[in-house]
Amino acid sequence: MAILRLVGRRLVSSVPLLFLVSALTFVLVSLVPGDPARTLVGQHATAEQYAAVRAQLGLDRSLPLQYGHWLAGAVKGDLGSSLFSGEPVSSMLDSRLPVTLSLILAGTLVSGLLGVGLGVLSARRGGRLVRTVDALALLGLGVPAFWLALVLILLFAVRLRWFPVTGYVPLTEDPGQWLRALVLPIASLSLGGVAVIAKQTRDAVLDTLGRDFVRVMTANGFSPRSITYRHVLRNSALPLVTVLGVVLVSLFAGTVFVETVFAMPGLGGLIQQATVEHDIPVIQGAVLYVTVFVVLVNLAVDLAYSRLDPRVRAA
Amino acid sequence: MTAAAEPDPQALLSVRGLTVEIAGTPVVQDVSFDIRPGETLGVVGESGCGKSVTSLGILGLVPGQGRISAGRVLFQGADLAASPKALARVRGSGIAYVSQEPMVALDPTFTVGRQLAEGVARHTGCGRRAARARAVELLGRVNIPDPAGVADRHPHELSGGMAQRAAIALALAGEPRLLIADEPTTALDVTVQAEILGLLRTLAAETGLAVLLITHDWGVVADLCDRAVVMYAGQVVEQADVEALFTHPLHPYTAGLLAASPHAALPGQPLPTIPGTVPPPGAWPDGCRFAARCALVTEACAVPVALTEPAPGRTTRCVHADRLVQEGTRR
Amino acid sequence: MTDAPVSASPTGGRRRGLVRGLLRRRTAVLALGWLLLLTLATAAAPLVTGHGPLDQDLNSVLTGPTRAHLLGTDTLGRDLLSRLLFGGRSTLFAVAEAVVVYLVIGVTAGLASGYLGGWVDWVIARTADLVFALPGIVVILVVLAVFPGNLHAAMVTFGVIGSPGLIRILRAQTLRVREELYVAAARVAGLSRPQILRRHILPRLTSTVVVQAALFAAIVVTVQAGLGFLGLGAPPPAPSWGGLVADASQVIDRDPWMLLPAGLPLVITVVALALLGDAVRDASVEAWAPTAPAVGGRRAPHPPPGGRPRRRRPRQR
Repeated sequence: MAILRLVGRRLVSSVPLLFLVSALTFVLVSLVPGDPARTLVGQHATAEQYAAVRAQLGLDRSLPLQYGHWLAGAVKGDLGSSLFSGEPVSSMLDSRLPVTLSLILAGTLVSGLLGVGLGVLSARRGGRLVRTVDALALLGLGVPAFWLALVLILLFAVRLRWFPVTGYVPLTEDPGQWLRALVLPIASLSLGGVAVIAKQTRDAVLDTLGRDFVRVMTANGFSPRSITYRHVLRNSALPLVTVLGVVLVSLFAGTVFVETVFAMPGLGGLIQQATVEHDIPVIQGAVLYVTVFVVLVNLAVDLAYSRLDPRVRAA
Repeated sequence: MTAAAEPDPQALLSVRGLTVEIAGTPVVQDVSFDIRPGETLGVVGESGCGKSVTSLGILGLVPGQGRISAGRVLFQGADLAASPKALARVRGSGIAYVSQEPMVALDPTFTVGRQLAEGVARHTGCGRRAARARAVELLGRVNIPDPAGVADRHPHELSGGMAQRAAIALALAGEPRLLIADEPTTALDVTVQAEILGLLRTLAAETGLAVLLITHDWGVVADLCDRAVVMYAGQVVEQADVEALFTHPLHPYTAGLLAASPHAALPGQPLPTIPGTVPPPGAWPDGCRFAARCALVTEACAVPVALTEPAPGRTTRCVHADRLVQEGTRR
Repeated sequence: MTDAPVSASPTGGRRRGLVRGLLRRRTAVLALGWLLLLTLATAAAPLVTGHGPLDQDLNSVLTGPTRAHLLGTDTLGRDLLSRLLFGGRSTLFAVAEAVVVYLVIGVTAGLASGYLGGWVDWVIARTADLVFALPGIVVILVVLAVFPGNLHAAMVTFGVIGSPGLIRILRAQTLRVREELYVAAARVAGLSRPQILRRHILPRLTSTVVVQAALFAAIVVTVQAGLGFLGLGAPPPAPSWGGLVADASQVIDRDPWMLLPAGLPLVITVVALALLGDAVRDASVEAWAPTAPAVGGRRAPHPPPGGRPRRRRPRQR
């Protein structure tokens, strides 16, 4: 029950964010120097044709009215149509969602498992591993995903031919090829996440290892393994969950680049293409999708927090 | 030479010549004492005298980069300082530990019951359900009302006194023979202090549990302890039965501490204090470490002082011990 | 002077200590050296290389490093070193734009929020939370969809989106410093708010601001390059670091060499900024640390030996 209430409260409180983002987008779009109707009908169209297209796009109405109209549509799942292909925006976005989601999901798994493993190991062993994690953190920040992707392509696709250079194979078509095509994108996407999580895990675990209860448990004969993996890790998980949320959102940003490099039919690639092509309805829809994604991530972080920390749960 | 160079064969725990260094600087030097089964031994001194480090050293848990650089810790015949294996076996089931701050002594993310059950299962190897039942039983034994209900609570939902009882229950999970309690009541309210002390006394009396009690409170010593060790600047300076210690201290530091105790205060009189502070490790003088604060100081105090045995069963580290035996200390 | 006893709040000496501490660190010196070299080389680009960034030479395309072209040439025979240096100008300019916006908003709002409190704090904190939740890269893409090719708009936007991070940190620190004795004393001594902020609070926050600005600059470099890579930066013939990587990706099977000059300076610059930030933080921790008491060398880093000094905790029931 308490959980449901928390979810409800969070969802309600995310409404202002959704409004703000979509309204801001609208205001920005109204500043666009060009005129989409003119672009669509071309230079030689008659005044009637031009007016008809304007009316069709809803551009003859005032800005608040346009926004209201868009919002009413959005609530029903209608986000308008692409200025270029004429395809409904929502179906364009939906068809590309699975690719991006599988990238993000895999990236999260890889970052989480490798990052936490490396972090715990370096906290317990110390010495050279500590420096390795520091160096990794620096590289994670310094090596941009798109350049790393190219280096990986050069080494593993062009030279060694272990993986395809670009492309995406749907899971339903051929699971083996699906996985092979995903390896390099996921690797280039995850470096940053692994680095951040490894460093945070190490710091959090070291911090927890110095706490009184660890000494009490050790003194009273609790098994070292249980202390590390049950108690210390769980107590270190709180700061980690926050970091994981940030990593998830940054993974999304990474997909914009990775999908472009690997020519994958995902949301990130679509946003890039729509930006280049000036396809405003697609951008608006994508922004809405991304904002909802961010809201959901934050909700998940809050839920995880309340699961992990009894003090938050009680509050 | 220390009075008891050879370990007492009857002792449960014999500490001999324990020296602990932190970052190369000795913080505890050549500490020796014994605890017999069922006995309660107090370790007294100001902050910074090495009491806590001594107790943690026994359990092989010297903080930070510290290490035991010399000495033996004999528990039921095995040297814990030399054998990590023996130490691992003894922790919890031979020697248990209760810390000073009850509110942070338990893992905040698990219920009290689950932590206790984990300790029970670890030491007895029993199943989940049996461990849980035993955990509730332990909570009852430390006088927690509604033990089953408390078992389902998280540490932050307990009061300080309750949390300290739960921590004691956790320490009892392995049915230890010796309990090391490091200032177990310092962080608690006065009324709760009395309850916790009463609990420790009952446990010791009923189960034959020996207790090593670290404290700076003479009231606690008088209340609970059979014998006491007084520490100053990393050394043992006096050791005696509690009654003898109170009536006839044979070290000026002990005398000063006793005089400064609020329990001995006279109404309307300012509480006497010992001038100066404990010298930090690394700044210890070669001679008597208390000399700079001592009223009886003479030239003889400038050379290292050994422990002597002026009376059977008691030791002191003072060149003026004979004089003190003769005339007593001015109180 | 009323504030004579108060302004024992040490700033000048500490700051000199900070700089000296910085110069004692090898990584900091290396990082500073690289950034200085980069700035000078891009500023004096025409002196460093004889080739213009747009000069084509179709007789020598994709040469790899040669005497005439130290870093090689691209598919149109343009000198990569020249393109790198001229492209670096736009990178440095973009960093400057974004960091200035980030600092102006972050410092003013952070200080105001922490020092003034009340409704000002409430409004700023709420707004910062809201902006913090925005997915940064997507907002920038929207801006670029609306103002095609306008990197200035993109960088100003990124400065705004980044500022909540700085606001939060400075707010927390201001709250802490505000409660310290010398600030309270300055208040009692009758110093005005701006005086207190400028003389007693801001100096304590300087190193934090520098650290955060360096880390933010590192991120801006990556983002600016990313936009160039996506073809959203300066329009084609103009050189940019991201554009160089994109060019390299076109010839990855024919001339993999090009990946190195296109990407490594980028990586080194970001790492240098991050290292500089770390070094400033470490040096400032050292400079502000209480002058250690320590008889006989450094004190044991871990808990004070013996019975721990009893912190006065509220007694618990």
